[in-house]
Amino acid sequence: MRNQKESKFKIVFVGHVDHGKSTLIGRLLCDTKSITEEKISEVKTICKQQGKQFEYAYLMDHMIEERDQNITIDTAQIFFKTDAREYVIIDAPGHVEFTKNMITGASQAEAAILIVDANEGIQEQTKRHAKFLSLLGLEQVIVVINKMDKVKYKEENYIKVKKELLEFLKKIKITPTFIIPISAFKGDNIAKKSDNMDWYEDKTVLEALETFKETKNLSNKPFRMPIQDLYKFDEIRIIAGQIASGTIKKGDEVTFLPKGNKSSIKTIEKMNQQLESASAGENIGITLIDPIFVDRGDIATQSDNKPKSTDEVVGNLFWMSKEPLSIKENLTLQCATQEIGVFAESITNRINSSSLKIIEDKSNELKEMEIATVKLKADNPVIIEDFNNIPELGRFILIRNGAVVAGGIITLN
Amino acid sequence: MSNNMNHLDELENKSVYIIREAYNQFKKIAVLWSIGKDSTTLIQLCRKSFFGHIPFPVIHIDTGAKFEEMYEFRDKYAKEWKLNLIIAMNKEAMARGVKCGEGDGFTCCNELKTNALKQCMAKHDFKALILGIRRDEHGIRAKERVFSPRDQKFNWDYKNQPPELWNQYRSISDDQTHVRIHPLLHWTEVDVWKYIKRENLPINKLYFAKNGLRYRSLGCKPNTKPIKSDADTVDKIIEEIKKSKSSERAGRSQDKEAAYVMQRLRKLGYM
Amino acid sequence: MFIIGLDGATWDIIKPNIDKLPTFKKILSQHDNYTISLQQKPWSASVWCSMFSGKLPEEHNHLDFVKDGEVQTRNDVKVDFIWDILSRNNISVKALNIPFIVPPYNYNIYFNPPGYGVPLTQEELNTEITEITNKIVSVTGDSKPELFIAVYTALDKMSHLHWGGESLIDYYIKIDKAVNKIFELDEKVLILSDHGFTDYDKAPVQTLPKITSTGNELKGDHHPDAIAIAKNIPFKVNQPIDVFNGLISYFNVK
Repeated sequence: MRNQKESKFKIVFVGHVDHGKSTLIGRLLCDTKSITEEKISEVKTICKQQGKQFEYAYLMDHMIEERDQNITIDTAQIFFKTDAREYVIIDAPGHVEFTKNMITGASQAEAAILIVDANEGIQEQTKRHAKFLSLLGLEQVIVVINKMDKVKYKEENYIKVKKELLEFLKKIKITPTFIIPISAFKGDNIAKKSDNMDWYEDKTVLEALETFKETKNLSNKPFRMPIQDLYKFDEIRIIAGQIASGTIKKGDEVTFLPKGNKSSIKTIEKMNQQLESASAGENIGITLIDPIFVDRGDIATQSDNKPKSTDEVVGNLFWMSKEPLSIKENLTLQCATQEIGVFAESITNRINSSSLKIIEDKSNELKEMEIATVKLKADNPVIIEDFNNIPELGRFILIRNGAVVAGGIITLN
Repeated sequence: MSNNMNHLDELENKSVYIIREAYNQFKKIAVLWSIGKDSTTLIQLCRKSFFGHIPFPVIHIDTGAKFEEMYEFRDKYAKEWKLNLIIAMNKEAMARGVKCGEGDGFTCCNELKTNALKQCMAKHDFKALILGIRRDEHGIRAKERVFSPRDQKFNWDYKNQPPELWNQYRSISDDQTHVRIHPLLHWTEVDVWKYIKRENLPINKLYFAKNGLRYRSLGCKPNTKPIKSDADTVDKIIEEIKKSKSSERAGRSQDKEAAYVMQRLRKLGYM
Repeated sequence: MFIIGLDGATWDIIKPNIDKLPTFKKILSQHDNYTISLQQKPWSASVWCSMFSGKLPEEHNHLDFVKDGEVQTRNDVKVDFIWDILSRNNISVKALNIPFIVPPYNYNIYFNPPGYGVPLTQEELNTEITEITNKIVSVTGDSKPELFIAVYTALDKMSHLHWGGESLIDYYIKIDKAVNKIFELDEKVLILSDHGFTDYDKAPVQTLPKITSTGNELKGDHHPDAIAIAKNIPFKVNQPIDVFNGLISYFNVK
């Protein structure tokens, strides 16, 4: 019986819609045999009924529509697998829930594939999508230069587009790990090495994906535990919380931020047992050697590796309320168990979440379904981390009059 | 997440976090125990959240027509686990002669369950209630939130639910509403049984097959019907559930679709 | 260019209720609008077919959704549509929910209509509006084609079932809201219907039996006066085939 939960590696496909995203995904589904014969023939039948020629792209469309009809909350159900692991495809922008889920981290990608047409090169949409990736702090990016078959597999085309791309990506601080020439339509360099491009000797798309690391082994990161509550049962004061990252052992010294007071762990408690150590994800209780004063909202951290404590939080926000956000308006920020009064000092890079079109570079407001980079000033110090490093302290919600109005993520450069 | 955590650990941790969060936000809170497998799991999770003591009441809504075995089970474990047990009964309706399972099948539930609960909440001034419902139980449940507001009439406006992100649970409560907390929302039926097995939780023996029959769920005696089954252990029950779910999966075939279209055209008068 | 079809829409509901329909009120005051008086039989399947193939019923032979007891599919309709022709000329085009067949036809777009394209319950009839509108918005966001055609078909069913009633007016109000969301998505927009509606007993043709096989009574049936609202459209539609011809000449293809 399997004990390990199989975590699926999340990938997002971005790029100009006509550059072959859907075909690539359909191809991946087929080549890795991640879609049943039954499904493929179901789509072929629908195509026939509509008088259309079957295309790989329809497989993806079909699966998205099917998923949309379901009641389930999971946003990403399209997956493919290799021998090494399972991947989940988070569908591309344009789909209503997509950007919200990406920004609020509900289904945040661990890697991205950016598609560019070998003939057309970088388009406006390519740039917008790439910018979006950089907004999310996504570091693992594969670029695929598609439709090589249409340019007769010529190396010159590849080199030209590659150069243009690298120039642009450098400006927005993305360094792609691979730039692969492919043809999704013909199947070159996706699962199989291409016979038509001897001049390319590096990895195929699947091989490239396999090199990506899962970013979320949180037990090895520095210890952080937001305090959820304090209990006193049987005369013993227990500090309760869920470990956001790292591992602690009995006897370790911890510092409670933002106050800065410290003590050492006396016991690590769970119902009817005491532990020698505990790691990320576990809900525990701790008792301390010294009777120091701590509160819900304090963050217990490793003394020799502390997170940032700041009164200025810069986050990428997804605004969810019909009433827009305005500068200087008072709101409450909730990050883990921290609850702090804030106001927005500046709103920049305002983007429409479905088209990813830029509305304004600098703005005074943010409306429903829009994203922007917002600088928040806090009444009190906030303890934060980069979302891609320690998610629990890298994401927050904003509350106005008791209602949740925005979700945001923090990327520290 | 730690690499050493398995699926049940993750579910358990998420539930514990929710329960602790609810207690922190609402001191006037209670948990509903129907003595069934889901709510007994919930009680265990509550105990784990607070290191063995549940610092708030446990409500059992007694409609007077449950199985004898349930009462025995309830009293035994309420004592063993030192639960602060409140038994909610609509004595007034019972005195009027309202009986479980009699009449239109709706009034008795309304009077004996819903009204009993309402009276209990009003008497103790509870602002929040923890329940063991799961998303996979019923289609409409899929739209539930972990913290779910109810209005004065106990109505749920599911089209206008507040957004719920990650594990940030908020309640917009004022005096007129109460909030329902659902720590088991992300558990499936199979998850619950696996947890019961792992924790060695006591489970009402009616769930296990006897003479070729067992109860898949336990409601009021008149309304609950047993199913044909030989599953008399937790492992067998898990197998049985897994098998029944896969046979339920019916793909939409093209022939089916053509048939539906024709049926509808006929309804409109086209054929 | 964006063509919005409203199957069965008629001035006989829009104009008397214009104060309840703010979007229509606004666009009628700002843009050209007129009546298309059909000279061919006002049968949906045949009119939508003419509109986008440029052929009259005598030529395309596609008279109804069902022929000899068989539900017709795309392959049974032996014509080239405007989208086929434009695609051959490398002009990007998408067509959403075109009801010359059932379920309605989609070109270059994937859409699953409520009720398999024959919405019957009030919920299905209402849902069609939201789903089509959402689909339109999502398509024009990311990948707007040079020609986009979308048809709201449920209005026709509503009109058959509820002609003369308040619920039909309420439905038009919903349509009005939907049009508000999409009218600004292109500079050139043409809204039109394939026919109008009138009392079942007054209609010049009976397209369906009055009492259906399941006991529903139809209150309305088709009338040959259809609507057109044109924002920056360089051609006039006197008859359905003028849509096809206008598009051919606008896009300059053969």
